[in-house]
Amino acid sequence: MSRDPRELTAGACLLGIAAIALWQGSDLDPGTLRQMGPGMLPRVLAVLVGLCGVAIGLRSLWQVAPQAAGAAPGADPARGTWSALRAPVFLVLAATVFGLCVRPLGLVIASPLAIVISTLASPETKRLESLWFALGMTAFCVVLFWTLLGLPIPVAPWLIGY
Amino acid sequence: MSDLIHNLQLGFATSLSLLNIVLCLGGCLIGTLIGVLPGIGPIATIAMLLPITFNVDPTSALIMLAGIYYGAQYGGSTTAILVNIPGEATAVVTVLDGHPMARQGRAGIALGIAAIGSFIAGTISTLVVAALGVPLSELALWFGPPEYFSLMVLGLTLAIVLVQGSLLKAGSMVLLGLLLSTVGADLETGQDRLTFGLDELSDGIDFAVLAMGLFGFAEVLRNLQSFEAQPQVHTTIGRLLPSREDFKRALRPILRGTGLGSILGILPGNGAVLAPFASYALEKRIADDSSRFGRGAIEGVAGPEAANNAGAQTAFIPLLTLGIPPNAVMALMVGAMTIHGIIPGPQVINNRPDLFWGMVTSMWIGNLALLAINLPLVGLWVRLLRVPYRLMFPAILIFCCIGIYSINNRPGDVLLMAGFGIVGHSLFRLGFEPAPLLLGFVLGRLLEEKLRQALVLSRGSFLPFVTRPVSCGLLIVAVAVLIIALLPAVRKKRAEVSLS
Amino acid sequence: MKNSARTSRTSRLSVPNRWRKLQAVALGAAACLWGTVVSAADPYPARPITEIVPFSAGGPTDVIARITGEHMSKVLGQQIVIENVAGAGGTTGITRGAQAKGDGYTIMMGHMGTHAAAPALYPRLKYNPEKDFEPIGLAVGTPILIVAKKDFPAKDFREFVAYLKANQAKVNEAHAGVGSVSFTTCTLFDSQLGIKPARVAYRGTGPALNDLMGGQVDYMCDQIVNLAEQIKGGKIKAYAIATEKRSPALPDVPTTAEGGMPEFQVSAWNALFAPKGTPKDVVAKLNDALVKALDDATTRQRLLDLGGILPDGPGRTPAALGDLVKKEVARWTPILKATGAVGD
Repeated sequence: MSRDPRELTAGACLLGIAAIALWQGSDLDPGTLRQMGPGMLPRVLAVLVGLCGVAIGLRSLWQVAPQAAGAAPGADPARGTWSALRAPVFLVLAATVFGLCVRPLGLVIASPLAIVISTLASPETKRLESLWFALGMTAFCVVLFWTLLGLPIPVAPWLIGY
Repeated sequence: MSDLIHNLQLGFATSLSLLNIVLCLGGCLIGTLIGVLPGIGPIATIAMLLPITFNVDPTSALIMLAGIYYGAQYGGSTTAILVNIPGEATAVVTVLDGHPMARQGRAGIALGIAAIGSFIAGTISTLVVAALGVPLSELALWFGPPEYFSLMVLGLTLAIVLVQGSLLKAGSMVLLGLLLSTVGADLETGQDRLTFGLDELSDGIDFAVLAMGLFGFAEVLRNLQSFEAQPQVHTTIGRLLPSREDFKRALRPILRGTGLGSILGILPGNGAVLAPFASYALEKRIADDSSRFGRGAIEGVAGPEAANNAGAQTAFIPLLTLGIPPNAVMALMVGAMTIHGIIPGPQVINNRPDLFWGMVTSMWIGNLALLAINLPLVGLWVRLLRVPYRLMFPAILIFCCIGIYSINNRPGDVLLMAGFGIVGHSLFRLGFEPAPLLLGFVLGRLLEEKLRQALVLSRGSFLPFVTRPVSCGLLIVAVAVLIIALLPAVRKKRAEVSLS
Repeated sequence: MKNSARTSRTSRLSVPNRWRKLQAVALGAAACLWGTVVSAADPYPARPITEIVPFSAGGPTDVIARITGEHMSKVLGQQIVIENVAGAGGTTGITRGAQAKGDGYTIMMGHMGTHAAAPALYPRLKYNPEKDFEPIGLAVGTPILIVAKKDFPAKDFREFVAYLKANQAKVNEAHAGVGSVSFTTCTLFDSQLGIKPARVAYRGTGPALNDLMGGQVDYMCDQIVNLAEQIKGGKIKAYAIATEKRSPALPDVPTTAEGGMPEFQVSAWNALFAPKGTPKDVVAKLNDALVKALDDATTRQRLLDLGGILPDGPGRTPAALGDLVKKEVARWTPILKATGAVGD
């Protein structure tokens, strides 16, 4: 009878999400079942999610963990913690930078920055190639989204005003 | 019958003018492009291209705008199959079997059957619109809040059938999706719910933000973590188009999907988004070997694709016969018509038959054009898969960022997408599947809205849900689906227990 | 890591050619950009103007903005680009507009909901309709109709009112969500009649109208443009229009005054605003463009076809709009606060 740590974590995560939802929605009036207020459904759903979390967690106590091949899908066991974290960190950073820069600095700055940062997420990146790719992709995006499709996306407000 | 033929003749006379053909083709091309690009949907594009249509007559303007709409349906499935990212809400189900097919080197077949299935569905549903448009719209009016609620409950039970893994985990994902759908301003009181005080969330989470995060971002993360997972590694460019054998397998799912989509498309409030899920669930249930699903079963692509295209066509029925838009894109069409001086309503079909029939016939022309455009493109798309992943994923990322930003012009949406990407990746690592979450999210809003409306109308009584015939029927079907889905699991457990 | 070392040698060989090409492109791009920087010194408007519409595309306000915007673009010589920023009853878009630079290149189409009802409905509202804007001018008002399902048991408006008063516990009123025109106007209607019916909230006019046509709900109040065709097609019944005179679009519908309720006079007005601090001459130019659009025959006709009411001479000035906003805020605040409905 071995425990499945992954399942236990899964259950715990669900419980955590349920708890946060209950806390956030605590000031909403649930009303009655017959006259539902804004807080009724969030509360009910959060409780149900929490119950599922508990069920999954309990089940993990007696369920046999699947063998190494499927245990942690997608992770190469040979790599260390940094390689596991590298992709998420840089991708989130890239998106964040894009989000923060696109309005004040426009597409021509935000886009290459985001692309270059995101290429750092992969160990196969070649630096110079990424640079060219970033510039080329930005030009392509400006033409596609701004010229062709006419999206109201800021291109270079510090230069051409829009 | 002769009336119908006469009307169709009038329609073709209108839609086969050179200008209208060009506009139709142009709309379909733009639509396909939009469908392929993440985040940007037909709504933003149609809104942007509205000014261009000021100088042409209303029928021509609508033909082009409509082309964009169903072109986007075709395009959305392309990215779903190739890179596991649904371009549109309706393409979410296509990733389940379409992408595994791509990984097996059958991308061309998947894309091909999606295009062909959509065309067949489009042809049949155009006939449905032409022949049954008016009576069907009356049917839509019968759907009150209790009926709608029951339909949504039925839709949720379909989620159980969708997944391969643990039913408990699928159920928890559906519930989580429902929970996420409650984020935002409450319908009746206007209060903010679960928004953590953030203004960005006060209108709820946009579907595209969630989908791009859960599927797009998470997919990229997953591929970067594991070299073997990347799609390029395995594909050899196999057959580019479906074989006769493939086609025979896919034909009945296509026909069934068309039926489902045609009916669900008429329902207001975007009930049409249920169609591909329903089709997938149906095909999986009646297939001889349902374990093929989720691993590249062609029926899992053909049925849903046909369903969503059929739904896209019949969504025009309430617009053209009653003047009520069933979804946000149609609301835009209302605006387009109004600007051109034609206010949509029950009179349009009589006062402007050229407009009505011109649009109906151009639907078919549009589907033909899309088939002609997309089949040759299959080779191009499949070749695109050969681009080294280290270049592909930044491209996917930047398209996602720009696309998501362009929905509401809100930088916060991009950050939210990244957040969901992390969440999506974590869910994957913990063994959860994202598709039920999306289904729960998509249905959640409608579910709650209709539940509360029904309760106000019935003054708090739950009786109408079972006393009204259609609602009762739908609930019975939902219970039946649940029982049928859970029975094998119960039997299996019993077998396991008795063996040990 | 080892792989990249081998392949980068080959890519380095082709770099010089690529580098030269890139230099040429960069020079060309710089020349173009220099041209645009120089031209920024031109008089207003030197580049396209963004008009924020705080509702989703296709709705009445959006349609009005596009119709007027088309002609205004011609007058101003620069394109007016509509940007839809929907949310929170329109307040999200207006907040964005209020915080924009007051240089005349961002304007917004507000309406009765965003600039009169909002302060009462949204306690955390981030703008003050009276103080944070430069009014440009009134665009068009859309009269409000009171409509009911087609087999509602009343022959005319008086019977309708009597039925509502006698059966207020039984009737169901539909509206398109807190903050919408249908919500705000029916709040006034109900309070003037002294009734408290069950109010069913929908996400937008489409679903509300759908259920009204299906007979699931009894009545609602909404703008004429959303309802006219359905009335003409016999799918719903119109009992009264809340204006002084009957509308040419629906000549058979009596006014509320004719029906014995002259105190219910509402029209959802739409108007253009600029952020505070926009220079007076820029505002004057925009007002002039708007007035010319309202006078243009095609634009005028399109707006009238919607059932709209166009402002006349003295009502078109920025000052008149400023006065209207003040009056409307004072009018709607007490009524809406009394309902206790609160957003945000």
